[in-house]
Amino acid sequence: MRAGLLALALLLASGVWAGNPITQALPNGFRVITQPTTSSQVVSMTLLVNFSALDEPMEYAGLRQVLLISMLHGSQAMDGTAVRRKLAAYGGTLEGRIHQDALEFTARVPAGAMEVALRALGEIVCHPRLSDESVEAAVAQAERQLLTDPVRTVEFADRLAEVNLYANHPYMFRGQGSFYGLRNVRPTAVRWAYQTYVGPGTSVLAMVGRCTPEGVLPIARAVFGEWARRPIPPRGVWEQPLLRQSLSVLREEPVRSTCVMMAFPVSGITHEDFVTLRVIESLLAGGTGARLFRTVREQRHLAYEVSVRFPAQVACSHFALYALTNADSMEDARAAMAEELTRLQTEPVADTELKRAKAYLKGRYLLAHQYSAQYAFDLAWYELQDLGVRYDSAYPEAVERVTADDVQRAAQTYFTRYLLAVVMPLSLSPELLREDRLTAPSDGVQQK
Amino acid sequence: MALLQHRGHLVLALIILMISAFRACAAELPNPFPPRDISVSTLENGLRLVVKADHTLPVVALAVTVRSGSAAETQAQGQAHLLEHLVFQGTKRYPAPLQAQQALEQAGGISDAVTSRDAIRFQAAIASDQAELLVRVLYDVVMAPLLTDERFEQERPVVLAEIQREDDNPIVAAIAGAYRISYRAHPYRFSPSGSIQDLLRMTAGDVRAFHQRWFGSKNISLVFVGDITPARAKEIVAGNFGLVKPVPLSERPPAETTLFETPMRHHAPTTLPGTCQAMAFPAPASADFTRMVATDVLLTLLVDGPDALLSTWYAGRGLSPTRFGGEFVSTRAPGRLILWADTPVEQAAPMRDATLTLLRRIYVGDVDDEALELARKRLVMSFVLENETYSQQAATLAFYESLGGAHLASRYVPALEALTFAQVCDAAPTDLLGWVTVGKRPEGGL
Repeated sequence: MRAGLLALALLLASGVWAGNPITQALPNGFRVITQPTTSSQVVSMTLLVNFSALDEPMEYAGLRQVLLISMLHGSQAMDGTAVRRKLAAYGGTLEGRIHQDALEFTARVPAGAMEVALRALGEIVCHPRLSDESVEAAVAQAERQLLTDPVRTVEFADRLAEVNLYANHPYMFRGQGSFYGLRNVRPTAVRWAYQTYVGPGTSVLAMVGRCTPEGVLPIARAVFGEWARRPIPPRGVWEQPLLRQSLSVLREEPVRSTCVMMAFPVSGITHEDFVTLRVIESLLAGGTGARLFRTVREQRHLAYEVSVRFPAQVACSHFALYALTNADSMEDARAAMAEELTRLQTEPVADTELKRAKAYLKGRYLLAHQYSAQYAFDLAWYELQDLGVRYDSAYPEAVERVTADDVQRAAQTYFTRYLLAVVMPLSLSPELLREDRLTAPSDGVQQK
Repeated sequence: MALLQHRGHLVLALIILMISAFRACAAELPNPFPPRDISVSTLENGLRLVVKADHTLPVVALAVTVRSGSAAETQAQGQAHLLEHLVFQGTKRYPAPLQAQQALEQAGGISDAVTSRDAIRFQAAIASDQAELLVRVLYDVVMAPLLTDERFEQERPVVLAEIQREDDNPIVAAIAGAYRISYRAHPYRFSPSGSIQDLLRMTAGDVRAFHQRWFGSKNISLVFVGDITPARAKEIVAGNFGLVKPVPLSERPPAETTLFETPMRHHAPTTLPGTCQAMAFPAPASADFTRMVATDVLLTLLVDGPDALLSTWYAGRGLSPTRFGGEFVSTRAPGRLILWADTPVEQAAPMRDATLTLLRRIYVGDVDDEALELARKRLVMSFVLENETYSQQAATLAFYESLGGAHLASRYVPALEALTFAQVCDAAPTDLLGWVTVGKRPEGGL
């Protein structure tokens, strides 16, 4: 078992792909990462801009989303449709996505169209049109997206929890903004945001696939080299949302099953506990040997699906446990999940269990490198957060260093007060959860 | 004269060179399954072994396909799906529930299983130096599951809940309904997940009978992708899968060639604020490979990307779906092309009619050939991106094995390249077989 993982990890460290990822910086500060993969027939390129929700004033919530959409509407030389068609002629795509802490532009093309895609990306990122018309159309599009309901029960629960967990914090808008904020977004604000936050010093491009640093750099230089350097703005500072006591929120939605979600505020990606929390995520929900699956689902039949989600966010995050169940079992499912958290706090994890969780986590991490788009995103993200591409090989080593003590300490630190979000089918009228049932897992446990 | 002839030969040679160069450029569409990389052999017991060697990563993926899925069920709907769940609940070598899966996970591996109309597929990926463990575990899961009454009773509620959860998603429910009403009697009309009524009546004996009936060597394919050679793969399976006995293969249910004279209609009222609808159209069987590929292009043209044809078509008619999409899963017998949309209730019937009108226009060739060409290129890219990992490649090869042979995966991109404008237009269906709505009931009959 270990030999297999060690082999994978060593080969990753030594460059099982054709070389390790190479980071090159242009004179204007723009960073380009190249990771060749010889067996690939495509190139995935991800450009991330370090423009976080933390930088967005609450009264302009949605500004980043509008900026992203407007940039995709085209450049001064070429409109968005023409840009997309140019790539589409090769079967390629160009898309944008909003994240809590970044704007993402992604292009994926057959290897032979790499230069075309890089130039297209450069057009919309370095020379966006941002006309009044395109901004107004982008605002309308962002408003329509706000009106789109989720489909799955878990998505409703996410929305309900995050609005409450991050109340008065910019993360509450999940990058989508608010109607109030979008109404305040004017073309001048969007152009100001672009000038302030989108520049070579705040952006990173990562390319994974059939490409080489020698082939990429001249084109990157030609496309991004003249991009005017701008001062890097200071990051917005927000107080970390606190839960002074455990809370519950319940909502009925047009769904057929009940989702019970326990969400605990935790720290962000640069905190020393980040990797430990990832290991805990694997202990609880990493595969069929994980605790929630074994006890809550298999042994006690309290849920048909259990999972954990721990988003990688910069300032702060949340660690959420989910159980998909029915109304009759929801309280028992919550109690069972809470019991597992209490066990983590009171009993050191057994060596075999910890090894299994780490093996699962590292195995999934390494296998995920096969997805060129995901790998490009990860490399760009590490560079954007000043972790460097070496973090890619350092991460499995960091996972291996996590001890049972670390797990217990983190569980005692973070799994105290939580938000309980319950989404239920419409037309059911169960007794609402009583406050006295919301016992936090750590009640009665001495904190270290 | 000799000089003229010489010049003539030179010009001819140049022309040939140019054509070859053009062809070389045009034929540069990437193919994740070059034929030279794939070896297919048949073991003595009739089991098919497919190997795509790729030593870039020290990982190997294995897909074991039993070429009988929900369409092979005779007594009740859901045996195949329940069996797929139950095989992991204890085997001869790994008797505790999920012990087999956990043996793989402890070694950093991952596993999965899926039931379709034509097959059940069990799949796993692991570091290549653990290939023997991989085969050992999957052999036990597939060929030596315990299938006890006790585990059956415990797993049945899990499957029932999974079906209920599918109903949680109105799009999935509408698509399932579209399949159901668009066939007269063919078993494809049933969802591979099974039916709640049948699952409640089912016994462990029914599931064991399905396993005994279909899990034999001539009905099984093994697909390896990754860091393994054909010789090594053959060596590893010799002592386990190589010893599996054959089962008699019966004839497939006859394909339905007679379509309904009028489209079938079904509505499922729910608490949705709008209406989710699905339209079912006839689609080709996998044996008609060219038409099958043409249908894929057609679907891409209709629903894929920011320039999806249905997007501009609907917008031009003042229709604004919240979401729309389509599904075409290639099957051994004639299948279904499903187009679905989430709309305000008053737009449901107009949207249905608008979709039909567009399909009829495409059928007569009234479509921009540039749009078709873009759809073709987009589909190639999707095919490549959906086959980036060894696991995905193993799944794709296994899928084509269940349809008629792994070699079809190698033919896919060349078939796309060779497709003509007329062939794609011809693939546009003009007969609506069924219309299903979920949520609020729209006005406007058929």
